[in-house]
Amino acid sequence: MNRTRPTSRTDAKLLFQLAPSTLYLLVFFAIPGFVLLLYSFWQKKGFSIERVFTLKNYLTVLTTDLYIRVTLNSLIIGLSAALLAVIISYPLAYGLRFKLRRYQSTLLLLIFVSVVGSYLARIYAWKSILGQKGLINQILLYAGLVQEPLSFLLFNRFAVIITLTNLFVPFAFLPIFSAFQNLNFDVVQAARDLGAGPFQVFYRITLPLTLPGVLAGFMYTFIFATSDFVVTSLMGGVSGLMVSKVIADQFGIAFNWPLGSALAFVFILTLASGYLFLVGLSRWLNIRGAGA
Amino acid sequence: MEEFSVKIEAVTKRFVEIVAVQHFTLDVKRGEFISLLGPSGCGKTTLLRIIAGLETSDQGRIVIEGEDMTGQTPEKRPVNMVFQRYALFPHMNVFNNIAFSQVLKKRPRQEIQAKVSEMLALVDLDGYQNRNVNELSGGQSQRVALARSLINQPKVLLLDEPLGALDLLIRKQMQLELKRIQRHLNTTFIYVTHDQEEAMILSNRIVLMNKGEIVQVGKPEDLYRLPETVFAAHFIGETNLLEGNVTRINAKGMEVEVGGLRIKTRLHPKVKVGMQVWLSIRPEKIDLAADQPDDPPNRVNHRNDLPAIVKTRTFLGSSMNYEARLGNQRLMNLVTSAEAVSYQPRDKVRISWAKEDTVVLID
Repeated sequence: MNRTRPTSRTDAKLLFQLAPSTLYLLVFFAIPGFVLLLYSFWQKKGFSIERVFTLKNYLTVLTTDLYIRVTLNSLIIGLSAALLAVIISYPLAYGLRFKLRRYQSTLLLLIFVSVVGSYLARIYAWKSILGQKGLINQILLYAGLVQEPLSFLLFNRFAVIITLTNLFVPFAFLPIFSAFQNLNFDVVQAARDLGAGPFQVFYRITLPLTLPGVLAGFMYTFIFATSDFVVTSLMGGVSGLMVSKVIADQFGIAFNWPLGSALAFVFILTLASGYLFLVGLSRWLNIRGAGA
Repeated sequence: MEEFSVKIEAVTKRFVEIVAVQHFTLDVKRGEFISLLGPSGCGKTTLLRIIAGLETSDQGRIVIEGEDMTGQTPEKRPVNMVFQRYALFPHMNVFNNIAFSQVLKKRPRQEIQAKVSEMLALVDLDGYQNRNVNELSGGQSQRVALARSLINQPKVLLLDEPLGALDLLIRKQMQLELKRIQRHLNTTFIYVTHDQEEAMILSNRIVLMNKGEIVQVGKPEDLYRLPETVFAAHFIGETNLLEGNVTRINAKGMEVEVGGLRIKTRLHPKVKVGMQVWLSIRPEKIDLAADQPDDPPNRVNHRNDLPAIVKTRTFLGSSMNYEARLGNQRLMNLVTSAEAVSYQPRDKVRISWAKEDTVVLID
């Protein structure tokens, strides 16, 4: 008896501590998710929904060219944006850690401002840069390089990738920067001291030790960008059409909640497998390290 | 072959507002274990980093084995460094940490394996090659760091307070290990520490530093017996410091007046009558005896013999520490054997020490 009492008390305490987050996830994620899952197995009939189990929605998703294409398009756009964001962030984080320590706080503040700054405002800023009467076209026209404004800048995959990269760069930068902050400078110097030149230090020490941050940043950006709905709606056009927009349309215009749900679940599973692949990759890289 | 392993020639290093190393000149002999000793901020670590090439000097130059190192990058210098906080590569196991420099040199796999095994045996870590470095204790980590540097067969090993992060017991053990390894390999060791006891235990010579400059260089026993400045007397070992004026000088010694007391001292070449000086008397040089009023004072001409009152008594196992108040209110620390006759606080005693043990210092 004596022995069980403290255990049950700590259990109760643990339950109490976990309650808010559990409740939150339950109400706002698990339950709606479960409802959607149910919908995905039901069937639209006219303007009502028939509550009979069917796999037809999933079959439609997996056999319709459009759905496969937009899902792939989402992945391509997400991967490109994540890759670009990492490519931009890595040298910046490297520079802030090793060369520009004096400007560190100023630059971090600017990056933070860009995170909290309006999401829509930045999208419209890009629209006005890339648009028919946008900044780029104005410059090109003024310089006499083109006779008519270029129309292919906006409403395509390229515009979506550029905008998404800009929107989510901070989410790639912060984990990479944090990895650089955790990098012990003595370790870098020890490598120099033991005979490694600058390039060898980079690929044997700096890169492997900051790689977890790179992967984390890549994953954040990839997930945010792949599932973004606003950018593709406002500037996607045809080639920039993403699955999130198609899903939203199923719930809105088409009023086909079952198909929308099935599309959403296929997409979630695709993303989850991409995520697991990256996690596996990072484990593998960590274990191998940068040794001989 | 050059006689000196490292020649430090008039090296000066300034950071934005402070001078870290000031016109520093020192020759280090081959196979010598030399310590740079001083309080934190005295420039000893900066100097070590300049030798390693991790820091550049503003003036002066470093010559290692006859070769001017000016402009040489760290990876090209025949020295290796052991860092205070180990600085092991966290993403590599023990083997890959130690093998690092040899992998860079593209040595054959078998040779590397043999060398790493030899190093592991040297630092007493046989069987640890596959361990993750995060699983090691502080002492083990520092052994790996040592092996990682020594495998490269540096001409000079630089050690930056390598035992500073370890607890006392491990530190004592590692001191003996370091000394054994240094004797075994006969590599030149330049060792930075702020711990005077550690410097005494390990070094052939100690370079005492303060504010970026050399205070005194010498064998540990010379630094202890004959400090040249108040700083040296104070920094190395315990001592009693008395301030006074020189009243008499003859061929055998001097007399210094300290707050009304006349104290006999050894000679100092630069001191003249009337000069203000400091006297340093080590606690273990002072004898303690019962006060016998019928005995005339100054019984022996070459000893100082003064009445005092015991203030405190501290038992330290092998020894007994006393604080005794001299007539002029000055406290003196002294050490006797724990087996000697023991006195109580407020006991009237006589304290005495040899003229030769009174070292005169000019500040």
